[in-house]
Amino acid sequence: MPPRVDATKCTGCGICDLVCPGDVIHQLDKELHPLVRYPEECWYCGSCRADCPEEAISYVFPAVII
Amino acid sequence: MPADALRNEVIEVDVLVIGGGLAGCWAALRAKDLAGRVLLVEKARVGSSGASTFCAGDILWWTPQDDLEAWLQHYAERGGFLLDPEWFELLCRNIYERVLEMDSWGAPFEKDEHGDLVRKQGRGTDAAVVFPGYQLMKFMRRKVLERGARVMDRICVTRLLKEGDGVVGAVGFNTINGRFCTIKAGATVIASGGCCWKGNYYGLDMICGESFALAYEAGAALSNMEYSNTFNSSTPRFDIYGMSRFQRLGGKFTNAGGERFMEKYDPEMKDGAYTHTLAMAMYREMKAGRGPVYFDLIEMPEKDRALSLKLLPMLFKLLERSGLDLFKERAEWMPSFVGAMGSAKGIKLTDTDCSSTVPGLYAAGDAACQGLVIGAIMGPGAINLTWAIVTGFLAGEAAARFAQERGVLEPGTAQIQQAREYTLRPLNRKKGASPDDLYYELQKIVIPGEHSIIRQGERMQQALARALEIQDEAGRLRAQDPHYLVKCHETVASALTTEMVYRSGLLRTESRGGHFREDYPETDNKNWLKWITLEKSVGGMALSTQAVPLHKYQKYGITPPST
Repeated sequence: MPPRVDATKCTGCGICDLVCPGDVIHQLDKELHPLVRYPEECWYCGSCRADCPEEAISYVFPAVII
Repeated sequence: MPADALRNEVIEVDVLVIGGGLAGCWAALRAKDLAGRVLLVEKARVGSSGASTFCAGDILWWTPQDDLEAWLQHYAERGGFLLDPEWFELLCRNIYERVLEMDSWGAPFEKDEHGDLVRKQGRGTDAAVVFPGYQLMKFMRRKVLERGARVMDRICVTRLLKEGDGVVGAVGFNTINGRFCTIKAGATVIASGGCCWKGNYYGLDMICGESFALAYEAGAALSNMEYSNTFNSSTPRFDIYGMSRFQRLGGKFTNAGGERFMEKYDPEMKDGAYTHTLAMAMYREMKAGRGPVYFDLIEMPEKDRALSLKLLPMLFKLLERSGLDLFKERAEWMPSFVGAMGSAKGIKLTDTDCSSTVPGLYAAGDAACQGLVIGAIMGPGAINLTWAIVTGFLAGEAAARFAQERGVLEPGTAQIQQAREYTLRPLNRKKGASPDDLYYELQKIVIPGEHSIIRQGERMQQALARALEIQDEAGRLRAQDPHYLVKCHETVASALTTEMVYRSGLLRTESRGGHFREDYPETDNKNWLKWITLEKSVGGMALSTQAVPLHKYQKYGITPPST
């Protein structure tokens, strides 16, 4: 389920929600980790992973892609 | 319906720019030089959305030392003489200044040891300056904010507002909370891209033809919409960006038998061919049983390998992770649908100030008719970003001047109420199909090779009939939240764009550049050195043709084909 957020690194800053062009990631509350709300719509553009200051985001590619 | 959707935000500005890619950012920057209040709205987020965010960063850069006539000759011949030479000259002269301007801002262009801009090869060019693609839009966002233009992200524009003949603003909604907003504007620039039908190519899933739908519904004319079937090429497993450069820097295509087949299809440009030739070649090789086809970078020189790794780090990381080393071995390759991006289609420009046929409305970038500088070429490479920058600049300038003269006009509450009802209607439905399923139906009549690479009259008739059915269904979709409301409006816009494509494609009874018809395989210069224009009329979509101003070629010493 792309993208995957590492809860031990995530500080809840919300940048991933801010930059996601597909409106896939939602940070509903500062205390919570971001929610990948529409995982099937992610097209692996890399914006959230590239901009995450904690390097907490990784992708899990489905079998058809790798 | 979310509680926020019930509220109405009203904003008044001098210049409204719709779409925050490279063209939209340039329009906002230039407009801000001349006008007080400039607003840039973007459906996703300025800096990480739009086709320019996912480009390789090659900008075609003409300098006064270059031979304008030679450049023009190349694009004119390759584009089947559908371009306007005066527009081409303007593009060249303007981009020279714009790149120097960007350089003076400290844009991270690739430079040599003397500090001079490095020009690299790309598809069809030896003269592209290189800006790391993934930094380009972040840089532009900073510039727009620095200059004092207002940026609103997550605003999906659904209708333009009119007063008399002119456009006086737009309405839309916030894609997160559903809040409706009305923007009254002295002038409006559409820069929200082409239409990619959520195809399999990288990063284009949000570009759904809204530019064309907004302009059409407001009465503006569109041109060359049959050229909406661009392809790039990529691995079947994921998308590759930077192909324009790779095709010219040692990249080679081979078929199952190991033959370098591109020499057959384009003896001059070979592996560096424009993508309408490339997609056709791959399609024909596969149909002839010589597939699959492959691509590799084994012959790429060492210095270009280093530069590629530097410019496209994410791509090479992905390649490495999936065990593909194109520098060592070939990988299976396929045509990859891009749609109405970087091709001839778009909102008709009536003048070199990027004005549309409707007063107060301007178009820039992929939204505007790029055929004026590339004709029928598909996948022209670095000239796409050049077009975005130059038309953005020109549209922003003209829009600011128009706004100063006319001022902000009142659209009237009845019109706003009607537009609001139209915008939010899918949220109010208790029943209705999901936009995802319907969008897939649309993709089936646009993306497959028999609809895009090789066209035919009867197939286009059937696709058109299906597009009209889908348009009808798109008017009855249900959105459970604002996120799905975006997708409902995307489906409506893409279905309308599909109708434009097939009506224009049926009218053009010849083959030229990216438009290939198996029932009319020859180029017909006698009848078709023409642009096809369409606009909304009482009886539906009305099409007409206009002869290409061939007399303009003589000024540049170029002889066009005789008609």
